[in-house]
Amino acid sequence: MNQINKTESVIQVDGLNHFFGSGESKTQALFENQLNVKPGEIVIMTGPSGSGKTTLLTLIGTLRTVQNGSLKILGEELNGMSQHGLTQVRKKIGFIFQAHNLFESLSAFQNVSMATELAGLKSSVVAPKIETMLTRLGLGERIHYKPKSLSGGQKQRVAIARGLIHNPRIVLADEPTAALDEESGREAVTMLREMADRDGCTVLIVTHDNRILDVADRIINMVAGHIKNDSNVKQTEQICDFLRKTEFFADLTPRTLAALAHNIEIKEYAKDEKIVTQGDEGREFFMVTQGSVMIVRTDGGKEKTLNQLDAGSYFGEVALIKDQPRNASVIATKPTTCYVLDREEFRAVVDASDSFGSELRKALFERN
Amino acid sequence: MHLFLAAKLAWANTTNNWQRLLVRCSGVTFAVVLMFMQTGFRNALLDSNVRMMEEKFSTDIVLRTKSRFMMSSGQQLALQHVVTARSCEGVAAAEPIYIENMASEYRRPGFPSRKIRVIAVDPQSPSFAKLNLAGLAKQLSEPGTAVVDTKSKTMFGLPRGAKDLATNATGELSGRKVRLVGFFECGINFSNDGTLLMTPDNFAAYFSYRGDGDPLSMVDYGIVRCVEGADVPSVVARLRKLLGSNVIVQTKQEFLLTERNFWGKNTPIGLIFSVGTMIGFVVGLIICYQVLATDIADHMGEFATIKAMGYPTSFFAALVVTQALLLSFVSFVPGLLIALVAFQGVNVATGLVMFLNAQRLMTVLGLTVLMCVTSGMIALRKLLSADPASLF
Repeated sequence: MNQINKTESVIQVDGLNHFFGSGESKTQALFENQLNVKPGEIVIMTGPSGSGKTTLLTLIGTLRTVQNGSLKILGEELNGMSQHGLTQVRKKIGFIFQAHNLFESLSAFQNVSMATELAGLKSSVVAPKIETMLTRLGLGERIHYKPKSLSGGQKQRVAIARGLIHNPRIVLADEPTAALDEESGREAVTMLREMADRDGCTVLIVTHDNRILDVADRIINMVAGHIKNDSNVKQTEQICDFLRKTEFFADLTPRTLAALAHNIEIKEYAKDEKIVTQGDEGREFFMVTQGSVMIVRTDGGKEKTLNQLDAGSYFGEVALIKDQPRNASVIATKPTTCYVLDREEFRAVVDASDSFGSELRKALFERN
Repeated sequence: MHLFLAAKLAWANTTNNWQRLLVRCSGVTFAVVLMFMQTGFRNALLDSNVRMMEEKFSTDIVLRTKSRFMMSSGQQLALQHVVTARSCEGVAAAEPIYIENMASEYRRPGFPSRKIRVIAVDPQSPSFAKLNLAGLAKQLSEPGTAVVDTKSKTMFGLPRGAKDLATNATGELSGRKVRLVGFFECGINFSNDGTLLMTPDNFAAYFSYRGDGDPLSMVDYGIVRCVEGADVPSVVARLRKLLGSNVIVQTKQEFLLTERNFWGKNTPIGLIFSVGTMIGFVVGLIICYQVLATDIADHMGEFATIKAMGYPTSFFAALVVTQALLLSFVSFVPGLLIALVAFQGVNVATGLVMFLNAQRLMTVLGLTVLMCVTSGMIALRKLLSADPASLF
């Protein structure tokens, strides 16, 4: 359980298409989806209804047959997998569905133990674990109640416990918090976060509940069967932090910063690689986040090093602001990472920073 | 591997709501009763035809003429063969049985004349001890006397009970006076509504046209008792050799089987009840399917969830089989009780004996289980074949 290769993908979706119906009524629900999820990541999928989120989730959960494209779960290709193979993969996944689907004839405890029985865990070991988890989810008093004596939210919490009790490698949740109040929804999400951090459990949540967005490492936005946006929350935060320290962007609102961060491309350069060539048209703005670069100007056949820039500095702004060709070349002196923003985005941001005040008013208005 | 868990879950699901369970079982119970009644009628048909030979006569081997194909057909066997059989090694006794059910009619004044079966045997012979005629032997030895089967139908106007006998002892048998002197028990069947029994001498007087000048020279059956410890099959073999190919020699069991098969397989009546049993089975199958399919549909979300969790096909098969077994047992018990009451009712109403033995009970139970499990498997198909996502 703890031997997890951090770099290997747990979920690897490549060129995945999916269709519903057949003949003339055949419609495509997913288009060339690409997705890679690593161990310990919590990914939230959002998007309007009918955008294919649940379809993608159920495909990943082996609950639908993969029709076209590649889908690997824990390194195993699902496309063309046997029924037996699917059953084996399913055991490593924890599901939390929108409908609780508890057996009316079984108590909360027994419903949860349906998951541990399958894993072949000893009941003496499991019983206290189930009790602890149900207690944590606020069901301590009702462990042995049958679903008909539980409220909708309580039933949903039992279903959450059932999905998590057997320490699955992957948790797939479809609107897990829809029926929950703020507090228990928060507790459920905290448990997911813990499992992700402690066991490297990968979590994929389809939700419209923006109260839990903060738990996500990544947020995927789906529109009409396409993965429209796949933003890494942590990376976006890092970029925002960096941008805030840069004088150009210091007075931007977090919202503009986030939008900007989203448009930033991360580029890596090897030692001695030329990043900018003197005389070229200026198309991009660079911020050095790692490594260092030197600025070299060739004047009348003589090469002269003007400056050495380290992490935290930026270059390339002059050509963009003044609309001139590059006045010097930039060469990496070490393996270097840069945030790169293209000309239009850069200018838009500079324009926006002048109207900082109105930006602020707009944000305040929207909050009401 | 998860069989126990499957059984536990099936039990919990089945017994979670007793009220609903009973409603669902009532349909299956109906099918069980239907099957019991149909097999009951069929067995009554088969049993009643051989009951006399099976229960009332003490015999190891039965002799009859080759052309006699069933008990109620009239082909006769020469008495000489029965006499010859007595000389065979291993035979303790060989007795003739005379049966007349074609020309024999009984009429009580004031009642219409009706066909009645008349049997003639020696009341003193140990072969007929089970008929309990010893006390009546003296009266039966008088001319023109007979005893009445207590199971005979009422339409004859025959005396019922000793009190009635005092005032209603005389009637007319095939145009001659007959005096009824007592009772015995043998039972009716599909071809006979009532029976009188008399000595061969009296029989000869009533049915003098039988035989060829000597009414007693042609018998209907010969019954053979072997000496104690004799090997019956080898006696049968010797008798066959001795009596030639025109006489059919069968052990009692072989005879009963032949007779049952004639009614069960060669007549449409036997077939009708077999078809009736099958209809009961099919009706039960449909009801069971409805019950189990509804139950599975009610739990489809839960089943889909645990299928998604990785529960294998075998788990669901075990689950549904257990549920089907529970359903069949819970439905079978009331079905059996209702059938027993109904059997009694039929017996009282028609005089037919609807007898249930362990084998017949197990047959219906087996059919019930088969019906529930088969329908369970049919109902399960969707759950097994579909992607879990399409089941929510």
